Amino acid sequence: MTAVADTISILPARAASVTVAGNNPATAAPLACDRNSLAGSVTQRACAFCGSRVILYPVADALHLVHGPIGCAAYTWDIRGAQSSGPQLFRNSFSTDLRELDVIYGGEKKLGAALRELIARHAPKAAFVYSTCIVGLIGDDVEAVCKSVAADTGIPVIPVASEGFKGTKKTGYRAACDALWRLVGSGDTADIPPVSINLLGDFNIAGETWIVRDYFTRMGVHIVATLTGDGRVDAIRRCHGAKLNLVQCSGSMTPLAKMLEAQHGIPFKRVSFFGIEDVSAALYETAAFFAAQDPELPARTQTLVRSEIEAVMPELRRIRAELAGKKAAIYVGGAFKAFSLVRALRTLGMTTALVGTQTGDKEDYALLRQMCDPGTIIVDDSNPLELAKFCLEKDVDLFIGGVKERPIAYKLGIGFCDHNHERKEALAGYVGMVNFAREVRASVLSPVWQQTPRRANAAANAVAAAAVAVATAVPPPPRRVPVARARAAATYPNATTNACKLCTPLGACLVFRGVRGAIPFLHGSQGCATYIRRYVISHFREPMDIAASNFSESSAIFGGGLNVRIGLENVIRQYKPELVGLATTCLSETIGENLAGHLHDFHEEHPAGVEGVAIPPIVSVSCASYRGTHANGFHKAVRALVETLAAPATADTAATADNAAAPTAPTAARPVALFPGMLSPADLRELRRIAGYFDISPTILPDYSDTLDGPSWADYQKLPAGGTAVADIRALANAAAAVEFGRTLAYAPATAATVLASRCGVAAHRLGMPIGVRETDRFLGVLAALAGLPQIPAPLAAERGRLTDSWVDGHKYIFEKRAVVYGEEDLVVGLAALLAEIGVTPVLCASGGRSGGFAAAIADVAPETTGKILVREGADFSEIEADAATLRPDFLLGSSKGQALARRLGVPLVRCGFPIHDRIGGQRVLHVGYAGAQSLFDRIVNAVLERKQAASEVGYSYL
Amino acid sequence: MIDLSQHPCFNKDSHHTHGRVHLPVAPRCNLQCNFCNRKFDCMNESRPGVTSAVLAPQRAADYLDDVLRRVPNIAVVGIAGPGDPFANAEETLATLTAVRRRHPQILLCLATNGLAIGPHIAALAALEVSHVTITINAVDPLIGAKIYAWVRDGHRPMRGIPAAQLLLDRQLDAVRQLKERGIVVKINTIIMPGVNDSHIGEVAKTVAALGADIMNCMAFLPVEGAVFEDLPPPDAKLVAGTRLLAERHLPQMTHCARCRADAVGLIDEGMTPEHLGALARFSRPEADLSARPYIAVASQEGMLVNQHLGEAARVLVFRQDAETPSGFKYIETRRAPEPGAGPARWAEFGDILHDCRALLVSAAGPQPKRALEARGVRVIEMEGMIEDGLDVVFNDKPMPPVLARRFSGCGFSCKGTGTGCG
Repeated sequence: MTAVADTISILPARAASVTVAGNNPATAAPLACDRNSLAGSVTQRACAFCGSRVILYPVADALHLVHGPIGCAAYTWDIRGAQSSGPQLFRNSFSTDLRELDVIYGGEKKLGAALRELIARHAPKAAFVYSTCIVGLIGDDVEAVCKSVAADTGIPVIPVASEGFKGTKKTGYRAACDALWRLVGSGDTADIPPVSINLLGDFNIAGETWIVRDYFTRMGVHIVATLTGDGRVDAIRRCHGAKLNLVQCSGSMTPLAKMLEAQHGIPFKRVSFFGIEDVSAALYETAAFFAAQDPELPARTQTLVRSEIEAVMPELRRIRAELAGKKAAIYVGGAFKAFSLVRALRTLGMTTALVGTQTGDKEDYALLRQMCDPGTIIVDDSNPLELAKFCLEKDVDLFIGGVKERPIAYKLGIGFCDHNHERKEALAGYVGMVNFAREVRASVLSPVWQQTPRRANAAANAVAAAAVAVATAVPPPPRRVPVARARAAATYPNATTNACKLCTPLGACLVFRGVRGAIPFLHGSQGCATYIRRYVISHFREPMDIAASNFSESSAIFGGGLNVRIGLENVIRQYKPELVGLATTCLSETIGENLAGHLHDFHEEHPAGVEGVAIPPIVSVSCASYRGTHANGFHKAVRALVETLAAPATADTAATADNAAAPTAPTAARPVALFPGMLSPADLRELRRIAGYFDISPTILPDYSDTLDGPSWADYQKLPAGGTAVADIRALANAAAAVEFGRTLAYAPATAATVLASRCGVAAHRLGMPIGVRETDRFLGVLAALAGLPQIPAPLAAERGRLTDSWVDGHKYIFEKRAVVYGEEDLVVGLAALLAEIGVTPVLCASGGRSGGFAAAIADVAPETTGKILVREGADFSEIEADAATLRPDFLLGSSKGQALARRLGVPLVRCGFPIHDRIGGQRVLHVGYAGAQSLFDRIVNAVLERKQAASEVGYSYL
Repeated sequence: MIDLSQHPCFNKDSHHTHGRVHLPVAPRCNLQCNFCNRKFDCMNESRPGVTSAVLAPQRAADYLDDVLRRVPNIAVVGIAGPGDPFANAEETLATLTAVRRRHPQILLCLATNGLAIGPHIAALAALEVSHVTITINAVDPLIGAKIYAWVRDGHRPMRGIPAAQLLLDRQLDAVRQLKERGIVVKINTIIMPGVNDSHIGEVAKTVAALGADIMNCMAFLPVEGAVFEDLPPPDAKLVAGTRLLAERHLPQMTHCARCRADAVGLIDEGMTPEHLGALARFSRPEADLSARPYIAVASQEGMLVNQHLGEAARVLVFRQDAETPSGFKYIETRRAPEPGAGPARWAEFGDILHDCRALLVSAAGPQPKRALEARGVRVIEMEGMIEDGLDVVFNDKPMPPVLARRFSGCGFSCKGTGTGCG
């Protein structure tokens, strides 16, 4: 219980509408119900119009015209998931759209004209005309208009007296039944067999009528009309020929059943098709009713019930084992559904802690009191505050209700199952019970609750993480976790097909592009430079000049010394760079180029610089493509910059005692180094923004946030503005701290951070890329510790709160979806952490890299995936594809290189990482921080939704 | 030495520290109060006259031992119905004797209408029963006649003023006799607006003169199905005023929680499924379950308990089996005896189920139920999945209310979710 729950009091006039099943003497008094809603109480009830609209709207071949101003029609445009096997006319929203003058002078003319126009255009079998509040007030003679149009058009045109102010939905149900009654009795019943029924009160939500129809068809019971799910005007006209009416959702259709009984002598039974017990009872009751006409019917029904239950029990038992003991709250429209839900929850091993309805009567509540365990709260016509209070007091794990209740649950970190008419899953019948179980499971067991404040006290998480992160600042000892390498070897021993990696010089070139005024220079053939430029440009869509020593055959044989000296001279002359990033290639490495010697010669040749331009620092990095991937080249280049500029090797390279003992508070003179690894320009900007909240202005190396994502130019720039200044890199020797992203770097021999730590005594923090909440919490924890803040700044805490709130909103759509993730190892580690947090299983994590620590890093950041996923180091896309065939992913997460595979698998590709060639905006894909997690989450959920929407015959317009 | 101060009802200071247990051993009643309906047998009700099960005296003592093991601070053992202890005098005294033999220190108490206690007061004193509550609603037979529909003295039913007069005489005599033997006497009086509300001072005065120790003026609570169903309950002002008047004659008890006849624990605590389970367990005849490894089920298709006993032409027999997904294994189908043989049919059925400890049915009549239970087969009325029912019975769990489907039976609230009443 929380303090807030204590402050919510039940309004005095509502006290009698709340009771508790159990030993309280007060429970002996009947619950106050069947009342008008208390004024000022934010009731969850709706109006009479709503009641009529939901009952009639599934009549698929009728025209449904809402007579009134636009609101009532707009709000009910295909709002429910009722489906039709044929006409889709009902899914349109027709309105007379009354304006001010219509209200003054009357809307009858407009109504008549609208009806004639729409009937001519759509040729419906009948038309329903819904009166709204305003029509009742201005006194349009809707009846007369309908009569006249009916006479002209030859179809029934039926007024529905559904003025909103008349009452609750119940009143509207009655008006809808009266409207349907005008159709009943006008059709021919000659060929209706003796064993025949009507289904009343099932609205074919998500195809439920079809499920139930199938059971009766298999039993040998003919269905004359379904009212109104997948309803047809002609069937309703002859429904008086059936011998029995089954009434589900008794609140809505009982009036019509009673009329049919009184006028046509058709008895009715109230049934429910929700839950195993109730649907079975409905089928048996029907069988018993017709046993005289068809003696074999009960036996056939038994066979059907048995086979259906047997089919669903294995899965239900599995799910029950996971849900046992969880607590649920139920708040639904009608009591009958509440009864079914209490039983269905029991089938799942769950208990009901709170149950309420909008429209239950005295008998219903007496029944609920008997069904529920002692202590269960029972409430009539509740409101959000009461429901929130009870949910908190009872600490429920699940709320079952409608869309209006959903935010109550979600804000409190409570799972939710939609059992209103807006649901998208068929919950009727035996298969519906399985769907129900799955949906409950998807919500209750989702990991997103671990990040919601009420469940995890997560507000404190970030600060707690700070302590943890600082304590583990020293990289942990490498831990080898078995990787699926054996299988890779067995499948494709030699050839790499469609690599999931690039070559080392590419990584180095990206790094050098992130140093201000630097030009990357490849020592090797010009092809390397050209390919890399082509590749990088297609992703970043920015100029990417890479110089090269342009080996020829003779330089390959006799050495490239001359080429590199001339090349450097020309580049310096042409570009006047502040730094030259010199990366070798496989060719220069293999022929054993003495690069240090060449550089020495070059400096000797140009003691006064090149044409007056001083020779800038030349940082060289060994980039044989056969050693590692572009990620290795990237990190090696960062390290080379630090080694060369910030921590030059001297005789005494040990950490100075002075530096090590100094306080770590960042100052202008004591910057914070941030080695982010291979992230997008948007990510780098985001990291800077985040650090700004801590008053830290880190030296990010490399920083290509401007050079590879800059504005258009007035004049051509040889080297784009931006990047980390050489002076700033030099100053890192005196850094207050170094933060390095990349959990697999623990398996690398040395990195920029370890070099700073060992040579300059800088406190090094190695973290994973801050992707997802937990990894971002850790990063922010380190920043908070560096800044001496007790907690993360409020704007970031608010971002975190919005993020985890959005996860709650989306969790059900992605729960236990299966993702194949690929890319650089550390990016995949971060993405796996995010996926695990949001309930997606990263069934395959693949990378072309081979750090040896990939699987261990994933196990560390996403412990919930351990044992459930396949991790592949050194993978190519043919292996990923071979795995994906059996892993059945729901989507791919990674670069454009997975596009062909996604297409073959027929699943969406959520693009992130590098390279993204086939979309624009690769440089703006945000991965890090709460904002990055937000963006990735939204894109993932929407990709899943889009796929579902596209695969659905009707599509879904409401969530 | 028995510590009289620990009784939570007689000493307000004890009611947060010391608990009580009511042993429901007295099902019958010898008068009908117009405010009472004992038919409403629901675990979610809490008021006098309600119990979930009735215990046999010997089993009541065993049940008490079980409760004492589980619940600390039980100071008092009482008998409060669900009928009247002395309409079941034999069971009441047998229970008190068994409990006193096992627990020489425990407080024993009784709540009675006083009609038939007289001949047993000596025996109660010998058993060291220390507290007796008598419900006296009127000391004027004209008023009493409005409150009591009938009184049965032995086999003699009486109505009207003579009945009220007889009851009153017996009650006042009982107070006198109890006080002669030094037993603490509490008088319960129910404030019924328009019936006896202006008369309660008189009641207090009369019983105070006879030596009664304390009085509990309780607000009348309307109970569905009782004659006074529609009588409005007194408001708080009337209750307080009445108590002030009565207090001139007798100290007032104000912390009454109207305990059930099977209440357990501190006065404010409710029944837990654990208590109910224990009660259910001890309310059954002791049987050697090792000879009864099976449970029979009346089911249409073998997945659900969904047949009435009378309509089951055959039953399915299950045993426990850890190897199967459900935890239970179907053994065989047994035919039920043909209808038409009268009561012998149920005796025969009991023999057919000689190795079954229970029979799960959606409903059963009282006669076949008795016949089967006499042969050691518990008849359990429920509706739901067979495997859920088997789990409850084999593992001796309390039946969850949602499975115990009395509510969908005939009459009250029948909404047709059952499979019909035929």
